[in-house]
Amino acid sequence: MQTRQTRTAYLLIAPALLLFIGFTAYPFIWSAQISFTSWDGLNAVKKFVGFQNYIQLFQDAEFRQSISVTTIYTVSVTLISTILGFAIALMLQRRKRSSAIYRTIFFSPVVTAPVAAAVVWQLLFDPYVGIIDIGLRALHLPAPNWLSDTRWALPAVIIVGIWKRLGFAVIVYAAGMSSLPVSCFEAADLDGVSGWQKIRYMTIPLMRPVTTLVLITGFIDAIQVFDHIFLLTSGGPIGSTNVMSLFLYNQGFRLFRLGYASAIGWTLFTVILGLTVLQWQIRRRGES
Amino acid sequence: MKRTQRSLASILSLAVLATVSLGTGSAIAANKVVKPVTIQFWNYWDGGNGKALSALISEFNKKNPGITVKPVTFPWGDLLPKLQTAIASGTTPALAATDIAWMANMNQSGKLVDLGAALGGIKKATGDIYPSLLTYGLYKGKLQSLPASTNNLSLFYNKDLFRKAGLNPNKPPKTWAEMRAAAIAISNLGNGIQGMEIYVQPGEGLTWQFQPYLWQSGAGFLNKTNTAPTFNSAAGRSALQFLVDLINVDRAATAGQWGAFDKGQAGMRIDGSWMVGGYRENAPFEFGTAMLPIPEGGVRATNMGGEQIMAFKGKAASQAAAVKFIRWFTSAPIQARWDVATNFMPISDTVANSTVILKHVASEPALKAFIDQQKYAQARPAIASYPAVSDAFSKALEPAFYGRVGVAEALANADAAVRKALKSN
Amino acid sequence: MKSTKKLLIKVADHLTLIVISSVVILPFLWMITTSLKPPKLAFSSPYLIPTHFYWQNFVNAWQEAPFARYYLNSIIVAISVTFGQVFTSALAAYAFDRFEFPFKRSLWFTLLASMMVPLPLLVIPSFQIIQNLHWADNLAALIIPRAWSAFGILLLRQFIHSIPRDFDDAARMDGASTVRVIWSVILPLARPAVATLALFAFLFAWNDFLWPLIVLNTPENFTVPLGIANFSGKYGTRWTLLMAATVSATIPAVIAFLAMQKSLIRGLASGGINE
Repeated sequence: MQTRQTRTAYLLIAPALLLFIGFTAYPFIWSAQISFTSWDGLNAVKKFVGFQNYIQLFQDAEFRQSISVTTIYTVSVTLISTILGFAIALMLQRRKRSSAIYRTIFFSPVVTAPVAAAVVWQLLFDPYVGIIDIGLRALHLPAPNWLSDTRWALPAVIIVGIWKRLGFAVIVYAAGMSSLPVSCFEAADLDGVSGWQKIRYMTIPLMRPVTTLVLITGFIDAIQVFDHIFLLTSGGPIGSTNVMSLFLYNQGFRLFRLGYASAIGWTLFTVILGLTVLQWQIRRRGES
Repeated sequence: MKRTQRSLASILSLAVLATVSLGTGSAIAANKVVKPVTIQFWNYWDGGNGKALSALISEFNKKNPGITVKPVTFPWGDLLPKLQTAIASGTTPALAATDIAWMANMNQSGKLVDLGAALGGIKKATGDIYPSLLTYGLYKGKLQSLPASTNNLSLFYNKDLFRKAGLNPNKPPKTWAEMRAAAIAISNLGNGIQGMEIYVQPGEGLTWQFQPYLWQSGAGFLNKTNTAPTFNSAAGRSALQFLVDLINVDRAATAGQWGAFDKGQAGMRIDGSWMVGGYRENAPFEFGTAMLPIPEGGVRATNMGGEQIMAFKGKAASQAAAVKFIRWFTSAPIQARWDVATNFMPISDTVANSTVILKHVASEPALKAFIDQQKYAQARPAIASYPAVSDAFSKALEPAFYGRVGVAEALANADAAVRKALKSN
Repeated sequence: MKSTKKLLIKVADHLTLIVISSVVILPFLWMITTSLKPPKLAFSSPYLIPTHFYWQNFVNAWQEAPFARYYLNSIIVAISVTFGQVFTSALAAYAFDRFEFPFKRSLWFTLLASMMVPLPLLVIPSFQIIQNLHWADNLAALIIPRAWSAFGILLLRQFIHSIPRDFDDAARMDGASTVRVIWSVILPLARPAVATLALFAFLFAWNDFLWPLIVLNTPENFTVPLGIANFSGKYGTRWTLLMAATVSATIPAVIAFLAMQKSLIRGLASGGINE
């Protein structure tokens, strides 16, 4: 019985597992090997350099800056798009009749190719012909030079990140809310529970699984962000938007330092994994 | 439930079908009898340049039955990872044209065809192509690529803004002092208009735009053996100071994104001859060009850009076809027509003095500055660590443009970073 | 009194929604307006309402880039990836939830850890594998390596966990095989999770840029994002053409969403067991 169960289980896992081994695990381990070389991706010889790439990485201020930029970006985009998505879905829930058109508007950025989105935003952020600053000036507000200012470039790419992400959160929340038990809310209405209390004590707790989902998917998307930042700022000015995957890409594919790029990737992986395991351990200790 | 199942099944069969049919479509055609070859030519010449290339290629294909060259265009920055993966996995195209700045690395790949041997000797292969252009193709005594185009940086200026600022639109600045005065006058027009647009985004763009200032002021970039930086000198500091002052003292320029000149929002900019065609067609203002202004007591200098064309080792038939195409494409008559279509600069005197080119230059006055200036164009160091050097250099300079560090400190930092990068590869 | 309050909320809701959606839609207005301008006027006002109708941009953009073909490729890839991820994830998730087997915990941990691998890192080694399989320049290379998802397995396992085993047992009693149980009992019950995974997978494949760029060489095989990228190059960006290309690439997707959103929402909603 046990062996049969094992066999069935392995057969079921096999498709995913084989693809994982072939297209993730194997290349990933291969990249570990590259991380110990000074290979440029072109040279016929891959020169072994030991831990040199890793040692250099720990002295690299750009790497440290990149970690903090990635953290700020990931946390802001994930949190803001989730909260905003929740709020919008809540309003759409109350405004059923017009919700289809709003949903379509919010979802449009999601299906827009990042390349295209970046190009448009680049011009929207332009300090002279960009509609954002034209608008701000018309309102007599300060009009920052968004993408060229070390203080504003990161907020600017975060805005684009949220714009691109918001629709997903809205749709998933809208779907979740449409399946809330109507009867409970009607009962609450009869008891004179206020709208805010209903949200606070009913909608938010009931939506918790959806929230987890929105947060996780948001995190996966945001931590790997590349396209729009690459095209909007290429990481500048002065590294203020240099997120991790951009840093890695530039080292490997622009500066011919594939060995170094691989070392970045492996270090990053180890750090995130370590943090996650630590968080699990803490949570488990808290539970028991 | 049933419905979901059925639609899932139909989607699956559709997907499988599509995969299979597309898979066979893209397989390389294996013909047995006459063996016509189809070869790919990877490049980053898009838009008008791409159209010009396609037109020339179809002419070549017609003239050479049995050979079909297929141009494939990728965005500039993306061609490099494409080539890296192709070389690493042995899936190189038969032909490619790449940025000269990548050549040192391409040369070491061991995948390039020795064009000297294939074309009957280096001398015969190169003819009177300017020697400065050949440095990129020569590697360990072998010729591994040929210049496909060249270009340089000159001054573009907005005649409309010159007029508005009370400057003579037919008298572009000749010296740094004049350039500074003009920039200040134009920026005084207000409305966020910059006198001069300066490239400050880190990367090769910044380095390649800044090097002419270094050379003009008498400073170098690297020493003759390409082993140590030479820009950290009084002359080098004066060059950087000039630009930093334009931004932070005169407020005649802004440190930030590139592109204001295109929109008519900047009075001057340094750029390449390839912009001439686009501006003539689409610029919302009247523009002029001039040789780069030089400092008091300085020398003429500009930066040399361009592409090299190369063949990759592979099956004998496609390799021979690739070599044949290179010989044809780098021949003077074809180069002359290529330059007319793209506004790139001639690669040899034969091309430069051909009637086609002379007629074209006469009809497009904006090209004159570039032609006159080509002989002052300097080549960037053709070493494998150059991309890393350039990146380190640009990143050390960037904060100076934003006024975060002083000029002396920025160049000292750049010196240290470049020394480190020189050792990296 | 109560109805005034309701009216107030209604007005406030609409005002907020209109403000936020105008911000969201702004780039699209700009995009459409610019795509219809003659090139010389690309940077002059108006920016948000088309006053010129220079259709030549579209003609030129389509001449340079066959968007119908790109669309077909993108759709094939995105649908196949979606289907593959749902299929492989469902099987694996079921096994992880319902069975005990050796190395279960370490396998689970390894799969989850793989979510944290930075994707650009895998590009060159993965391509070498694709090359060994002779899949270069073939859509299969975009589909098969992406036909599994650690996130998908995690998501479906969580959901399957909430489905009582009685359902499996009842079906098995009728003589159904394990795959059949998963396919016709579990998956329909897990519809919201499946729909979420499908949406996520579809969008991922639809927007992917770096991997298709590396894998594909022939323009006929390009996907939509690759087709757009070619309009901005080293030697200058052709703004109006780029915008025409972008509009061509985006509008059909938006229309498709408009048409399908009802069923999408229904699919995502956890109707299955709660009702």
